[in-house]
Amino acid sequence: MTKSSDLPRPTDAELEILTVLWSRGPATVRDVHSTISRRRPAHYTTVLKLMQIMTDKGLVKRDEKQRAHIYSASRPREWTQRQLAGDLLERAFAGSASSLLVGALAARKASAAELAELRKLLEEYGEDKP
Amino acid sequence: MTLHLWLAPPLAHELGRALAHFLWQGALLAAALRVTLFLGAERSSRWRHQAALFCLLALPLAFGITLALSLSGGHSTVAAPPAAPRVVFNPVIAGDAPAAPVDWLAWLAPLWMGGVILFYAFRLAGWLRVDRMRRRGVCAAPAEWQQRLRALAAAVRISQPVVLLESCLAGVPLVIGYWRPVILMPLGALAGLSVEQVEAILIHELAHIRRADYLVSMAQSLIEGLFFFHPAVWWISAVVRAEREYACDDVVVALRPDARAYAAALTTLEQSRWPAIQPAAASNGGNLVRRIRRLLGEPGSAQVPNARVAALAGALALVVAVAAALVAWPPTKSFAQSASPAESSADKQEPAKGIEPAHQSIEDLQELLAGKQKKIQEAEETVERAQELLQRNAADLDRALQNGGAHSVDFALEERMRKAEAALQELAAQVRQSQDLVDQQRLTALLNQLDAEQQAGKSQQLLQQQERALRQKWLNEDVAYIISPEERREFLVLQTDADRDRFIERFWQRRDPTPDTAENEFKEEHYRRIAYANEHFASSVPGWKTDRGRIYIVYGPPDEIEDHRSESVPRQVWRYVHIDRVGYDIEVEFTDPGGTGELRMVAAPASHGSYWQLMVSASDAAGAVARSLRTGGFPILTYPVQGRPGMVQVLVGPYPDEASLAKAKAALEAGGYHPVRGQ
Repeated sequence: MTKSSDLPRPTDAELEILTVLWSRGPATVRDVHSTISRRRPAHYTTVLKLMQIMTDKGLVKRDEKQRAHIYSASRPREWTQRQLAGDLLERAFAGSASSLLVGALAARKASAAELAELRKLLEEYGEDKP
Repeated sequence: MTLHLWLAPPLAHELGRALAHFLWQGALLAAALRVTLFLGAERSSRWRHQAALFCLLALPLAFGITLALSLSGGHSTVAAPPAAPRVVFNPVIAGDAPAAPVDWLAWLAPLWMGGVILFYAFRLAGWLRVDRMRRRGVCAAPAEWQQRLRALAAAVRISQPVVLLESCLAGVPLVIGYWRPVILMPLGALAGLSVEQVEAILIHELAHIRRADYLVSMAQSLIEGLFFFHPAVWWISAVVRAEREYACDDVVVALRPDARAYAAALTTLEQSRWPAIQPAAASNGGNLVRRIRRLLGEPGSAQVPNARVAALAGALALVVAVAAALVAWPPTKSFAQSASPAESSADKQEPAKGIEPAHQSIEDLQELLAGKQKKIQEAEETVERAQELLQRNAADLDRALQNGGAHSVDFALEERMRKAEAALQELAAQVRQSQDLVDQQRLTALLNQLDAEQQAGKSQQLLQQQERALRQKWLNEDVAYIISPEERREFLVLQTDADRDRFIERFWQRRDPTPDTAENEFKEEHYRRIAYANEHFASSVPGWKTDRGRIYIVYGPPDEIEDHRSESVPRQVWRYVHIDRVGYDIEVEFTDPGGTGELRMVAAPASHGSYWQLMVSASDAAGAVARSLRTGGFPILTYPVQGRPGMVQVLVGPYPDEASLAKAKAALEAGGYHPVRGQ
């Protein structure tokens, strides 16, 4: 069993497979392939090969109890996300990127105090109008 | 030395000037926006967003205009020096004159450019990173969500396909791209929220796509980078961002009225976001709290809490900016005058020569102009003196060389050379000053020329208008009675004036009885008739417009006129023996029962009883009909039908009672006519 800190950083292709596994939960190669090919053309054998490599690296775990092997991510996504975010370049340009982002929530994370205030607001509103 | 070269071009100076001007311009625009938002506090966020965006776009516009103005104003100054004197005398000045004062405006330009490049480099890297998020660590969202997204997109009225992806790198829901937009949902968000809540979030993102906010965000970044040094720009940009979110929230609430569920969804997402994008900032009045207050209808939520602080900062910025502008320029260079090349080059003069005092009024300017004219005269005199001196020196030199170099001559020569040099230095200074005057005069000449061109353009326009009016008059007056409906329609659909003129020419050609000759008898006769009608039949209306005028213009002078104008009911009967294409024995009666002074054609002399009407169209039939009816004992009245050349109306009557009317009808029908009851 490899130590968690020894796990290599996943490549982009591997990250995609991990994302599918995090999103859908444990899945067969066929499931993963069908999800991936909905976004871009991909060969089944390529996905299979990649997942075998990832098993060797320890990025995914294979459950061989059933006839169709079930794969699952060996680490929770938060762990990998932290690992990826630790990238120096990522951090250097994160601020610049954030001001370009458009989305429902601001680029800045709300502070604990703000979150508490939000909770309170929602509770008060819920009481007023059940 | 390299830096010196860098700063030398006047572009750097003008750029620096435009930047310094931008300090107050930016502050002013921000203040204007502040006031606009205050006045439009009740308006929709869409409106407020547009106001802020407009303000943001006005920033580069103001900067660009200032730069263009000062560049075009300073252009002649730039171009003029190589003309002659300054280049020739430059070495002399460089040797003796004290070092020129530092042009700190010109230093601003390279500093600013460095900042902009740095800023843009960071933004580009950021953008690449964002764009990479479309592909890295994403997977297609479940099919049922894609389907729901399509339905929502239709509700938000988006036609382009939108892709919904789950991303392990996005901490919050995001929209990336404009032409091929992608919505990224953080992993787990689709499963962690209720369907209604996810839909609300998706509507918010779709609203961003519909409003092209990604593009706006890019443009915003460009503008921010350009004016990174100005806090007012950042403030305006922040307003745009905040109002953008409010506007999208409004779309959500319009489609999904459960504001609380939506607010709860936002809060949940915020709470569960992982801090990868940026470490949590200290409480900066994050606008999520404000948005949720607004969503839940909390009192005072629309008001920006730090509005007073912002207004104060704006005012402070304004004061600082104005102060900076005042310090940067001596009063001569007030903004209104900054375009004048005379002023822009004034600060290149040595302080010893004196910076011109403020010239606010026209009198002062005129005085300045007179002074400069005097200086230019002085400069010319100095030029003459210097040339004389140089010639003498050259002659002396020649002589000295011939004499084999006598020391006494050398001494005198040296003295004279020194004098010449001094004179030349003075000259150079004066020439430089007079240059300003020349530039000013050139500008005045340019303005005059511009004025003249404008005038010429106006008169050209006037001419065209007159021509157009003439053509209109041709159609509605000159040939109103003789143009056929087909021709009129044809004329009205013509597009160009040239086509219309050609049509008019052809119109007359068709009617020319002698097309081989240069004269057009028809046209001449026609205009003679109009002139006659205007001269003889005018009353309260122009002669050509009266009934007699119309008949006269169309059929020419009658062969006989029965004049009863002196009777109690003024009356006139015109008789034509023959009218081409109408018939023979045509009678037209005009009366003026109301005593208005204008004789009107009797179309229906109602007071005398009822008539039978016959319309006769065949050209010769009209005459025959009229003759046979008259010989048959019928009282008749014949007159041409208005607007239908070739048609004649014959009125039979009047008959005072029904019995005689019926008898006449029977008689007419026996003669083969089909009379119509007339009034």
